[in-house]
Amino acid sequence: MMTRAGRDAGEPGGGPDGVAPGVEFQRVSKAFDTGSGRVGLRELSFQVPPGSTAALVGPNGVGKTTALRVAATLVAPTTGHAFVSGLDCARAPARVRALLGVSLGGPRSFYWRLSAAHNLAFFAVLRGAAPVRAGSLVRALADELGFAGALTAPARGLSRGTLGRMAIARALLCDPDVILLDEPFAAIDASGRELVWDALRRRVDAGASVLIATHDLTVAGRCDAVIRPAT
Amino acid sequence: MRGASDASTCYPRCPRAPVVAAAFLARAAAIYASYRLRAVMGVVSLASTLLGCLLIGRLVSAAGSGFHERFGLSYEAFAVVGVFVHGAASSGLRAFRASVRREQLRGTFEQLLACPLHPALLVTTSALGGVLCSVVGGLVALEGVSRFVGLSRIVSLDVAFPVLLYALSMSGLGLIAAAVVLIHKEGEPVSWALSMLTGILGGVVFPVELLPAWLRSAGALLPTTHALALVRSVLSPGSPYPGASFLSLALMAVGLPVAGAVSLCAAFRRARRDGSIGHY
Repeated sequence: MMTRAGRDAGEPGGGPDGVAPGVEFQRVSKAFDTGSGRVGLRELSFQVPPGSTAALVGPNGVGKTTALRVAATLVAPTTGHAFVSGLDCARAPARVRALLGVSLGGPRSFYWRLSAAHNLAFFAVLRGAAPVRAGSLVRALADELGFAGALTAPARGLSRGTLGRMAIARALLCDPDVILLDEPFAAIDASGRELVWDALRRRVDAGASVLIATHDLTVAGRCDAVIRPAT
Repeated sequence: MRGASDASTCYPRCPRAPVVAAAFLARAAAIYASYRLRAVMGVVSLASTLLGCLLIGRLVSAAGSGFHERFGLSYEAFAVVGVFVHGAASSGLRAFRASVRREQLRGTFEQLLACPLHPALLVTTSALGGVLCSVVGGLVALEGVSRFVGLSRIVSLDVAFPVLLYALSMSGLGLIAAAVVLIHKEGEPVSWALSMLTGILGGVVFPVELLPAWLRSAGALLPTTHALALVRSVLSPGSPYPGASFLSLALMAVGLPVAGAVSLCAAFRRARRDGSIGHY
Protein backbone atom coordinates (compact mmCIF):
# COMPACT_ATOMS: atom_id res chain seq x y z
CA MET A 1 0.00 0.00 0.00
CA MET A 2 1.13 3.54 -0.73
CA THR A 3 2.30 5.83 2.00
CA ARG A 4 -0.04 8.68 2.78
CA ALA A 5 0.02 12.38 2.12
CA GLY A 6 1.84 14.22 4.88
CA ARG A 7 4.22 11.34 5.43
CA ASP A 8 5.61 11.60 1.92
CA ALA A 9 7.27 14.91 2.48
CA GLY A 10 7.65 14.54 6.22
CA GLU A 11 5.27 17.39 6.98
CA PRO A 12 3.48 16.59 10.21
CA GLY A 13 1.31 19.68 9.86
CA GLY A 14 0.35 18.70 6.38
CA GLY A 15 -1.38 21.76 5.00
CA PRO A 16 -1.68 25.53 5.34
CA ASP A 17 -1.02 27.20 8.69
CA GLY A 18 -3.25 25.84 11.39
CA VAL A 19 -4.87 23.15 9.23
CA ALA A 20 -4.29 19.54 10.18
CA PRO A 21 -3.85 16.73 7.61
CA GLY A 22 -6.67 14.22 7.28
CA VAL A 23 -10.08 15.87 7.38
CA GLU A 24 -10.81 19.12 9.15
CA PHE A 25 -14.04 21.12 9.30
CA GLN A 26 -13.95 24.68 10.63
CA ARG A 27 -17.44 25.94 11.58
CA VAL A 28 -18.98 24.53 8.40
CA SER A 29 -22.66 25.37 7.82
CA LYS A 30 -24.90 24.56 4.90
CA ALA A 31 -28.31 26.11 4.31
CA PHE A 32 -30.41 24.73 1.47
CA ASP A 33 -32.53 27.15 -0.52
CA THR A 34 -35.57 24.91 -0.85
CA GLY A 35 -38.18 27.39 0.34
CA SER A 36 -38.47 25.62 3.70
CA GLY A 37 -35.48 27.43 5.16
CA ARG A 38 -33.91 24.08 6.00
CA VAL A 39 -30.40 24.19 7.41
CA GLY A 40 -28.50 21.06 6.45
CA LEU A 41 -25.53 21.58 8.72
CA ARG A 42 -24.87 23.96 11.65
CA GLU A 43 -21.36 25.22 12.39
CA LEU A 44 -19.74 21.80 12.42
CA SER A 45 -16.10 21.66 13.48
CA PHE A 46 -13.96 18.54 13.86
CA GLN A 47 -10.70 16.88 12.89
CA VAL A 48 -10.02 13.35 11.72
CA PRO A 49 -6.23 12.97 11.80
CA PRO A 50 -4.40 10.55 9.50
CA GLY A 51 -4.47 7.02 10.87
CA SER A 52 -7.81 7.32 12.61
CA THR A 53 -11.51 6.64 12.18
CA ALA A 54 -14.41 8.88 13.13
CA ALA A 55 -18.17 8.40 13.04
CA LEU A 56 -20.67 11.14 12.29
CA VAL A 57 -23.74 10.19 14.29
CA GLY A 58 -27.10 11.73 15.00
CA PRO A 59 -30.76 11.57 14.06
CA ASN A 60 -32.04 11.82 10.50
CA GLY A 61 -31.66 15.27 8.98
CA VAL A 62 -28.86 16.43 11.22
CA GLY A 63 -26.45 16.75 8.31
CA LYS A 64 -24.31 13.60 8.39
CA THR A 65 -24.53 12.96 4.65
CA THR A 66 -24.29 16.67 3.89
CA ALA A 67 -21.01 16.79 5.82
CA LEU A 68 -19.66 13.91 3.71
CA ARG A 69 -20.79 15.66 0.53
CA VAL A 70 -19.03 18.84 1.60
CA ALA A 71 -15.82 16.88 2.17
CA ALA A 72 -16.31 15.15 -1.20
CA THR A 73 -16.59 18.60 -2.86
CA LEU A 74 -20.11 17.82 -4.09
CA VAL A 75 -21.72 20.50 -1.94
CA ALA A 76 -20.23 23.93 -1.24
CA PRO A 77 -20.55 25.10 2.37
CA THR A 78 -22.56 28.26 3.01
CA THR A 79 -20.09 29.36 5.68
CA GLY A 80 -16.91 27.90 7.14
CA HIS A 81 -14.16 25.84 5.57
CA ALA A 82 -13.60 22.14 4.98
CA PHE A 83 -10.11 20.77 4.37
CA VAL A 84 -8.84 17.42 3.14
CA SER A 85 -5.13 16.80 3.61
CA GLY A 86 -4.74 20.53 4.09
CA LEU A 87 -6.51 21.46 0.85
CA ASP A 88 -9.60 23.65 0.94
CA CYS A 89 -12.51 21.65 -0.56
CA ALA A 90 -14.06 24.81 -2.01
CA ARG A 91 -10.90 26.18 -3.60
CA ALA A 92 -9.15 23.05 -4.89
CA PRO A 93 -11.94 20.53 -5.49
CA ALA A 94 -10.19 18.49 -8.18
CA ARG A 95 -7.05 18.11 -6.07
CA VAL A 96 -9.15 17.11 -3.08
CA ARG A 97 -11.03 14.48 -5.09
CA ALA A 98 -7.72 12.95 -6.15
CA LEU A 99 -7.10 12.11 -2.48
CA LEU A 100 -10.55 10.75 -1.65
CA GLY A 101 -12.34 7.43 -1.73
CA VAL A 102 -16.10 7.96 -1.51
CA SER A 103 -19.15 5.78 -1.04
CA LEU A 104 -22.30 7.89 -1.12
CA GLY A 105 -24.97 6.37 -3.32
CA GLY A 106 -25.13 2.91 -1.79
CA PRO A 107 -26.17 -0.16 -3.78
CA ARG A 108 -27.96 1.78 -6.53
CA SER A 109 -24.90 3.69 -7.63
CA PHE A 110 -23.66 1.04 -10.13
CA TYR A 111 -24.34 0.25 -13.78
CA TRP A 112 -26.75 -2.64 -13.55
CA ARG A 113 -26.13 -3.88 -17.09
CA LEU A 114 -22.39 -4.31 -16.41
CA SER A 115 -20.64 -7.00 -14.40
CA ALA A 116 -19.33 -6.22 -10.93
CA ALA A 117 -15.78 -6.43 -12.27
CA HIS A 118 -16.48 -4.03 -15.16
CA ASN A 119 -18.18 -1.58 -12.80
CA LEU A 120 -15.24 -1.47 -10.41
CA ALA A 121 -12.58 -1.47 -13.15
CA PHE A 122 -14.36 1.48 -14.78
CA PHE A 123 -14.23 3.51 -11.57
CA ALA A 124 -10.64 2.39 -10.95
CA VAL A 125 -9.60 3.91 -14.29
CA LEU A 126 -11.49 7.12 -13.51
CA ARG A 127 -9.62 7.26 -10.23
CA GLY A 128 -6.30 7.10 -12.03
CA ALA A 129 -5.45 3.37 -12.17
CA ALA A 130 -3.71 2.21 -15.33
CA PRO A 131 -6.27 0.24 -17.39
CA VAL A 132 -4.00 -2.81 -17.47
CA ARG A 133 -3.81 -2.77 -13.67
CA ALA A 134 -7.49 -2.16 -13.01
CA GLY A 135 -8.49 -5.83 -13.26
CA SER A 136 -5.94 -7.06 -10.72
CA LEU A 137 -6.75 -4.17 -8.42
CA VAL A 138 -10.43 -5.10 -8.49
CA ARG A 139 -9.74 -8.81 -7.92
CA ALA A 140 -7.55 -8.02 -4.92
CA LEU A 141 -10.24 -5.84 -3.35
CA ALA A 142 -12.95 -8.41 -4.09
CA ASP A 143 -10.85 -11.08 -2.36
CA GLU A 144 -10.27 -8.79 0.60
CA LEU A 145 -13.97 -7.95 1.00
CA GLY A 146 -15.26 -11.43 0.22
CA PHE A 147 -17.20 -11.04 -3.01
CA ALA A 148 -14.71 -12.46 -5.55
CA GLY A 149 -17.29 -15.07 -6.59
CA ALA A 150 -19.66 -12.33 -7.76
CA LEU A 151 -17.24 -10.44 -10.01
CA THR A 152 -18.48 -11.82 -13.32
CA ALA A 153 -22.17 -11.46 -12.51
CA PRO A 154 -24.16 -8.45 -13.75
CA ALA A 155 -24.69 -5.94 -10.95
CA ARG A 156 -28.48 -6.18 -11.38
CA GLY A 157 -28.41 -9.76 -10.16
CA LEU A 158 -26.40 -9.19 -7.01
CA SER A 159 -27.74 -9.00 -3.46
CA ARG A 160 -27.84 -5.66 -1.65
CA GLY A 161 -25.14 -6.93 0.68
CA THR A 162 -22.79 -7.71 -2.22
CA LEU A 163 -23.54 -4.33 -3.79
CA GLY A 164 -22.76 -2.74 -0.42
CA ARG A 165 -19.38 -4.46 -0.35
CA MET A 166 -18.79 -3.32 -3.93
CA ALA A 167 -19.55 0.25 -2.90
CA ILE A 168 -16.93 0.00 -0.18
CA ALA A 169 -14.46 -1.60 -2.59
CA ARG A 170 -14.98 1.33 -4.94
CA ALA A 171 -14.15 3.73 -2.11
CA LEU A 172 -10.92 1.81 -1.42
CA LEU A 173 -9.71 1.83 -5.05
CA CYS A 174 -6.28 3.37 -5.58
CA ASP A 175 -5.45 3.68 -1.88
CA PRO A 176 -7.10 7.00 -1.01
CA ASP A 177 -5.73 9.18 1.79
CA VAL A 178 -9.22 9.92 3.06
CA ILE A 179 -12.16 7.50 2.94
CA LEU A 180 -15.72 8.83 3.23
CA LEU A 181 -18.49 6.26 3.77
CA ASP A 182 -22.24 6.88 4.10
CA GLU A 183 -24.02 4.12 6.06
CA PRO A 184 -21.58 1.52 4.69
CA PHE A 185 -22.84 -1.43 6.75
CA ALA A 186 -26.57 -1.01 6.14
CA ALA A 187 -27.04 -4.17 4.07
CA ILE A 188 -23.95 -6.20 4.99
CA ASP A 189 -24.10 -9.32 7.14
CA ALA A 190 -22.02 -9.87 10.28
CA SER A 191 -19.15 -11.76 8.62
CA GLY A 192 -19.03 -9.21 5.82
CA ARG A 193 -18.85 -6.39 8.37
CA GLU A 194 -15.77 -7.96 9.95
CA LEU A 195 -14.08 -8.20 6.55
CA VAL A 196 -14.88 -4.55 5.88
CA TRP A 197 -13.59 -3.47 9.31
CA ASP A 198 -10.39 -5.44 8.74
CA ALA A 199 -9.91 -3.75 5.36
CA LEU A 200 -10.54 -0.31 6.83
CA ARG A 201 -8.21 -1.01 9.74
CA ARG A 202 -5.40 -1.93 7.34
CA ARG A 203 -5.83 1.41 5.54
CA VAL A 204 -5.97 3.30 8.82
CA ASP A 205 -2.80 1.59 10.03
CA ALA A 206 -1.14 2.79 6.81
CA GLY A 207 -2.18 6.36 7.61
CA ALA A 208 -5.59 6.86 5.99
CA SER A 209 -8.39 8.86 7.62
CA VAL A 210 -11.83 7.26 7.63
CA LEU A 211 -15.03 9.23 8.20
CA ILE A 212 -18.27 7.24 8.46
CA ALA A 213 -21.79 8.69 8.56
CA THR A 214 -24.04 6.33 10.48
CA HIS A 215 -26.94 6.16 12.86
CA ASP A 216 -25.78 2.73 14.05
CA LEU A 217 -24.18 3.21 17.46
CA THR A 218 -22.38 -0.14 17.30
CA VAL A 219 -20.56 1.11 14.20
CA ALA A 220 -19.81 4.41 15.95
CA GLY A 221 -18.52 2.48 18.97
CA ARG A 222 -15.77 0.89 16.89
CA CYS A 223 -14.46 4.24 15.64
CA ASP A 224 -11.71 6.23 17.33
CA ALA A 225 -13.90 9.33 17.63
CA VAL A 226 -17.59 10.20 17.49
CA ILE A 227 -18.79 13.48 16.01
CA ARG A 228 -22.30 14.71 16.72
CA PRO A 229 -23.49 17.54 14.45
CA ALA A 230 -25.72 20.06 16.23
CA THR A 231 -29.46 19.65 15.61
CA MET B 1 3.08 16.86 0.56
CA ARG B 2 1.19 15.39 -2.32
CA GLY B 3 -1.19 17.80 -3.96
CA ALA B 4 -0.01 20.85 -2.04
CA SER B 5 0.43 23.13 -5.04
CA ASP B 6 -2.71 24.45 -6.68
CA ALA B 7 -0.72 25.82 -9.60
CA SER B 8 0.04 22.36 -10.96
CA THR B 9 -2.40 21.10 -13.59
CA CYS B 10 -1.51 17.39 -13.43
CA TYR B 11 -2.71 15.70 -10.28
CA PRO B 12 -1.13 12.50 -8.99
CA ARG B 13 -4.26 10.42 -9.49
CA CYS B 14 -5.92 12.21 -12.39
CA PRO B 15 -6.29 9.92 -15.39
CA ARG B 16 -5.50 11.23 -18.87
CA ALA B 17 -8.37 12.28 -21.12
CA PRO B 18 -7.84 9.51 -23.75
CA VAL B 19 -7.82 6.86 -21.00
CA VAL B 20 -11.04 8.26 -19.57
CA ALA B 21 -12.59 8.40 -23.05
CA ALA B 22 -11.64 4.77 -23.71
CA ALA B 23 -13.16 3.69 -20.38
CA PHE B 24 -16.44 5.49 -21.13
CA LEU B 25 -16.56 4.05 -24.66
CA ALA B 26 -16.02 0.51 -23.38
CA ARG B 27 -18.77 1.07 -20.82
CA ALA B 28 -21.16 2.49 -23.45
CA ALA B 29 -20.48 -0.42 -25.83
CA ALA B 30 -21.11 -3.00 -23.13
CA ILE B 31 -24.34 -1.35 -22.02
CA TYR B 32 -25.53 -0.84 -25.62
CA ALA B 33 -24.85 -4.48 -26.49
CA SER B 34 -27.03 -5.54 -23.58
CA TYR B 35 -30.11 -3.85 -25.11
CA ARG B 36 -30.82 -5.69 -28.41
CA LEU B 37 -34.29 -4.31 -29.14
CA ARG B 38 -32.92 -0.77 -29.40
CA ALA B 39 -30.62 -1.73 -32.31
CA VAL B 40 -33.56 -3.30 -34.19
CA MET B 41 -35.61 -0.13 -33.69
CA GLY B 42 -32.75 1.94 -35.13
CA VAL B 43 -32.81 -0.08 -38.37
CA VAL B 44 -36.60 0.28 -38.69
CA SER B 45 -36.36 4.07 -38.18
CA LEU B 46 -33.67 4.27 -40.86
CA ALA B 47 -35.78 2.39 -43.39
CA SER B 48 -38.86 4.52 -42.75
CA THR B 49 -36.86 7.77 -43.11
CA LEU B 50 -35.43 6.62 -46.45
CA LEU B 51 -38.86 5.59 -47.71
CA GLY B 52 -40.29 8.99 -46.78
CA CYS B 53 -37.51 10.82 -48.67
CA LEU B 54 -37.98 8.65 -51.76
CA LEU B 55 -41.73 9.21 -51.84
CA ILE B 56 -41.42 12.98 -51.46
CA GLY B 57 -38.70 12.98 -54.13
CA ARG B 58 -41.01 11.24 -56.59
CA LEU B 59 -43.71 13.75 -55.82
CA VAL B 60 -41.38 16.69 -56.46
CA SER B 61 -40.07 15.09 -59.69
CA ALA B 62 -43.60 14.42 -60.93
CA ALA B 63 -44.46 18.07 -60.37
CA GLY B 64 -41.57 18.93 -62.74
CA SER B 65 -40.12 21.62 -60.51
CA GLY B 66 -36.64 21.66 -62.07
CA PHE B 67 -35.15 21.12 -58.63
CA HIS B 68 -32.00 19.42 -59.93
CA GLU B 69 -31.20 22.21 -62.37
CA ARG B 70 -31.63 24.87 -59.73
CA PHE B 71 -29.98 23.26 -56.67
CA GLY B 72 -27.47 20.81 -58.18
CA LEU B 73 -28.95 17.63 -56.64
CA SER B 74 -32.13 15.66 -57.12
CA TYR B 75 -34.66 16.34 -54.40
CA GLU B 76 -34.30 12.82 -52.98
CA ALA B 77 -30.55 13.29 -52.65
CA PHE B 78 -31.03 16.79 -51.19
CA ALA B 79 -33.51 15.58 -48.60
CA VAL B 80 -31.65 12.39 -47.72
CA VAL B 81 -28.46 14.35 -47.01
CA GLY B 82 -30.41 16.90 -44.95
CA VAL B 83 -32.44 14.40 -42.97
CA PHE B 84 -29.55 12.05 -42.19
CA VAL B 85 -27.02 14.73 -41.28
CA HIS B 86 -29.59 16.61 -39.20
CA GLY B 87 -30.78 13.41 -37.56
CA ALA B 88 -27.26 12.39 -36.62
CA ALA B 89 -26.51 15.86 -35.27
CA SER B 90 -29.72 16.03 -33.25
CA SER B 91 -29.14 12.68 -31.60
CA GLY B 92 -25.50 13.63 -30.98
CA LEU B 93 -26.70 16.83 -29.35
CA ARG B 94 -29.17 14.94 -27.18
CA ALA B 95 -26.40 12.55 -26.10
CA PHE B 96 -24.93 15.19 -23.79
CA ARG B 97 -28.05 16.02 -21.85
CA ALA B 98 -29.09 12.35 -21.92
CA SER B 99 -25.81 11.21 -20.41
CA VAL B 100 -26.18 13.62 -17.49
CA ARG B 101 -29.82 12.70 -17.01
CA ARG B 102 -29.14 8.94 -17.15
CA GLU B 103 -26.37 9.19 -14.58
CA GLN B 104 -28.64 11.26 -12.32
CA LEU B 105 -31.44 8.70 -12.55
CA ARG B 106 -29.13 5.71 -12.16
CA GLY B 107 -27.66 7.21 -9.01
CA THR B 108 -24.14 7.11 -10.41
CA PHE B 109 -23.71 10.83 -11.04
CA GLU B 110 -22.32 11.74 -7.62
CA GLN B 111 -19.88 8.84 -7.75
CA LEU B 112 -18.60 10.03 -11.13
CA LEU B 113 -18.26 13.57 -9.85
CA ALA B 114 -16.32 12.31 -6.85
CA CYS B 115 -13.60 11.20 -9.28
CA PRO B 116 -10.75 13.60 -9.99
CA LEU B 117 -11.99 14.72 -13.41
CA HIS B 118 -12.89 18.10 -14.81
CA PRO B 119 -16.70 18.33 -15.15
CA ALA B 120 -16.51 19.20 -18.86
CA LEU B 121 -14.24 16.20 -19.51
CA LEU B 122 -16.58 13.97 -17.53
CA VAL B 123 -19.70 15.02 -19.43
CA THR B 124 -17.96 15.00 -22.82
CA THR B 125 -16.48 11.54 -22.41
CA SER B 126 -19.69 10.25 -20.87
CA ALA B 127 -21.58 11.37 -24.01
CA LEU B 128 -18.85 10.23 -26.38
CA GLY B 129 -20.42 6.83 -27.09
CA GLY B 130 -23.72 8.44 -28.07
CA VAL B 131 -22.03 11.11 -30.19
CA LEU B 132 -19.85 8.59 -32.03
CA CYS B 133 -22.81 6.30 -32.62
CA SER B 134 -24.74 9.24 -34.08
CA VAL B 135 -21.96 10.56 -36.32
CA VAL B 136 -20.59 7.24 -37.53
CA GLY B 137 -24.06 5.70 -37.75
CA GLY B 138 -25.33 8.71 -39.70
CA LEU B 139 -22.45 8.59 -42.17
CA VAL B 140 -22.70 4.84 -42.66
CA ALA B 141 -26.47 5.06 -43.17
CA LEU B 142 -25.99 7.90 -45.64
CA GLU B 143 -23.39 5.88 -47.53
CA GLY B 144 -25.74 2.92 -47.54
CA VAL B 145 -28.70 4.82 -48.97
CA SER B 146 -26.71 7.03 -51.36
CA ARG B 147 -27.07 4.72 -54.37
CA PHE B 148 -30.85 4.73 -54.01
CA VAL B 149 -30.92 8.50 -54.53
CA GLY B 150 -28.33 8.77 -57.30
CA LEU B 151 -25.37 9.95 -55.22
CA SER B 152 -21.84 8.68 -55.71
CA ARG B 153 -19.62 7.72 -52.75
CA ILE B 154 -20.42 10.01 -49.79
CA VAL B 155 -17.93 9.08 -47.09
CA SER B 156 -14.72 10.85 -48.06
CA LEU B 157 -12.28 13.31 -46.54
CA ASP B 158 -14.06 16.16 -48.31
CA VAL B 159 -17.23 15.31 -46.40
CA ALA B 160 -15.52 14.23 -43.19
CA PHE B 161 -13.98 17.65 -42.55
CA PRO B 162 -17.22 19.68 -42.48
CA VAL B 163 -18.81 16.86 -40.50
CA LEU B 164 -16.00 17.13 -37.94
CA LEU B 165 -16.48 20.90 -37.64
CA TYR B 166 -20.20 20.33 -37.34
CA ALA B 167 -19.73 17.70 -34.63
CA LEU B 168 -17.51 20.10 -32.65
CA SER B 169 -20.09 22.89 -32.94
CA MET B 170 -22.91 20.61 -31.86
CA SER B 171 -20.79 19.26 -28.98
CA GLY B 172 -20.48 22.81 -27.67
CA LEU B 173 -24.25 23.19 -27.82
CA GLY B 174 -24.57 19.76 -26.22
CA LEU B 175 -22.47 20.93 -23.26
CA ILE B 176 -24.74 23.96 -22.88
CA ALA B 177 -27.76 21.62 -22.93
CA ALA B 178 -26.09 19.43 -20.27
CA ALA B 179 -25.49 22.54 -18.14
CA VAL B 180 -29.22 23.32 -18.28
CA VAL B 181 -30.10 19.75 -17.28
CA LEU B 182 -27.71 19.97 -14.36
CA ILE B 183 -29.67 22.90 -12.97
CA HIS B 184 -33.24 22.28 -14.14
CA LYS B 185 -33.15 18.43 -14.38
CA GLU B 186 -36.19 18.07 -16.71
CA GLY B 187 -37.37 20.34 -19.54
CA GLU B 188 -34.15 21.21 -21.35
CA PRO B 189 -34.97 23.86 -23.96
CA VAL B 190 -31.63 24.16 -25.82
CA SER B 191 -31.70 20.98 -27.89
CA TRP B 192 -35.50 21.16 -28.19
CA ALA B 193 -35.36 24.66 -29.71
CA LEU B 194 -32.34 23.81 -31.86
CA SER B 195 -33.94 20.70 -33.33
CA MET B 196 -37.16 22.56 -34.07
CA LEU B 197 -35.52 25.67 -35.56
CA THR B 198 -33.02 23.64 -37.55
CA GLY B 199 -35.79 21.62 -39.15
CA ILE B 200 -37.35 24.83 -40.45
CA LEU B 201 -34.41 27.20 -40.98
CA GLY B 202 -31.42 24.92 -41.51
CA GLY B 203 -32.15 23.73 -45.04
CA VAL B 204 -32.85 20.16 -43.95
CA VAL B 205 -35.70 19.25 -46.30
CA PHE B 206 -35.91 22.36 -48.47
CA PRO B 207 -33.30 24.88 -49.66
CA VAL B 208 -32.75 27.95 -47.47
CA GLU B 209 -32.94 30.03 -50.66
CA LEU B 210 -36.70 29.52 -50.52
CA LEU B 211 -36.94 31.29 -47.14
CA PRO B 212 -37.66 35.01 -46.74
CA ALA B 213 -34.47 37.05 -46.23
CA TRP B 214 -35.04 37.66 -42.52
CA LEU B 215 -35.54 33.96 -41.84
CA ARG B 216 -32.45 33.16 -43.91
CA SER B 217 -30.45 35.47 -41.60
CA ALA B 218 -31.77 33.58 -38.58
CA GLY B 219 -30.86 30.29 -40.25
CA ALA B 220 -27.30 31.49 -40.72
CA LEU B 221 -26.89 31.37 -36.94
CA LEU B 222 -27.36 27.59 -36.93
CA PRO B 223 -24.39 25.25 -37.52
CA THR B 224 -26.62 22.86 -39.49
CA THR B 225 -27.25 25.43 -42.22
CA HIS B 226 -23.54 25.76 -42.95
CA ALA B 227 -22.72 22.07 -42.51
CA LEU B 228 -25.41 21.05 -44.99
CA ALA B 229 -24.34 23.72 -47.49
CA LEU B 230 -20.77 22.38 -47.33
CA VAL B 231 -21.70 18.69 -47.60
CA ARG B 232 -24.12 19.30 -50.48
CA SER B 233 -21.58 21.39 -52.38
CA VAL B 234 -19.08 18.53 -52.12
CA LEU B 235 -21.69 16.08 -53.44
CA SER B 236 -22.76 18.36 -56.27
CA PRO B 237 -19.92 18.58 -58.81
CA GLY B 238 -19.51 21.99 -60.39
CA SER B 239 -21.38 23.94 -57.73
CA PRO B 240 -19.50 26.89 -56.13
CA TYR B 241 -17.78 26.20 -52.77
CA PRO B 242 -19.61 28.05 -49.97
CA GLY B 243 -16.59 29.75 -48.38
CA ALA B 244 -18.70 31.90 -46.06
CA SER B 245 -20.34 28.78 -44.67
CA PHE B 246 -16.93 27.19 -44.07
CA LEU B 247 -15.74 30.26 -42.16
CA SER B 248 -18.93 30.46 -40.09
CA LEU B 249 -18.79 26.75 -39.23
CA ALA B 250 -15.10 26.92 -38.33
CA LEU B 251 -15.78 29.83 -35.97
CA MET B 252 -18.66 27.94 -34.37
CA ALA B 253 -16.48 24.82 -34.02
CA VAL B 254 -14.00 26.85 -31.95
CA GLY B 255 -16.36 29.14 -30.05
CA LEU B 256 -19.24 26.85 -29.10
CA PRO B 257 -17.18 24.17 -27.25
CA VAL B 258 -15.54 26.93 -25.20
CA ALA B 259 -18.93 28.45 -24.44
CA GLY B 260 -20.20 24.98 -23.56
CA ALA B 261 -17.35 24.25 -21.15
CA VAL B 262 -17.78 27.64 -19.46
CA SER B 263 -21.56 27.09 -19.12
CA LEU B 264 -21.05 23.63 -17.68
CA CYS B 265 -18.52 24.82 -15.10
CA ALA B 266 -20.88 27.63 -14.06
CA ALA B 267 -23.72 25.10 -13.76
CA PHE B 268 -21.58 22.80 -11.61
CA ARG B 269 -20.66 25.68 -9.32
CA ARG B 270 -24.32 26.60 -8.94
CA ALA B 271 -25.39 22.98 -8.35
CA ARG B 272 -22.70 22.60 -5.68
CA ARG B 273 -23.88 25.80 -4.04
CA ASP B 274 -27.52 24.66 -4.18
CA GLY B 275 -26.59 21.15 -3.05
CA SER B 276 -28.57 19.73 -5.97
CA ILE B 277 -25.92 17.75 -7.87
CA GLY B 278 -27.42 14.40 -6.92
CA HIS B 279 -31.04 15.50 -7.45
CA TYR B 280 -33.14 14.45 -10.43
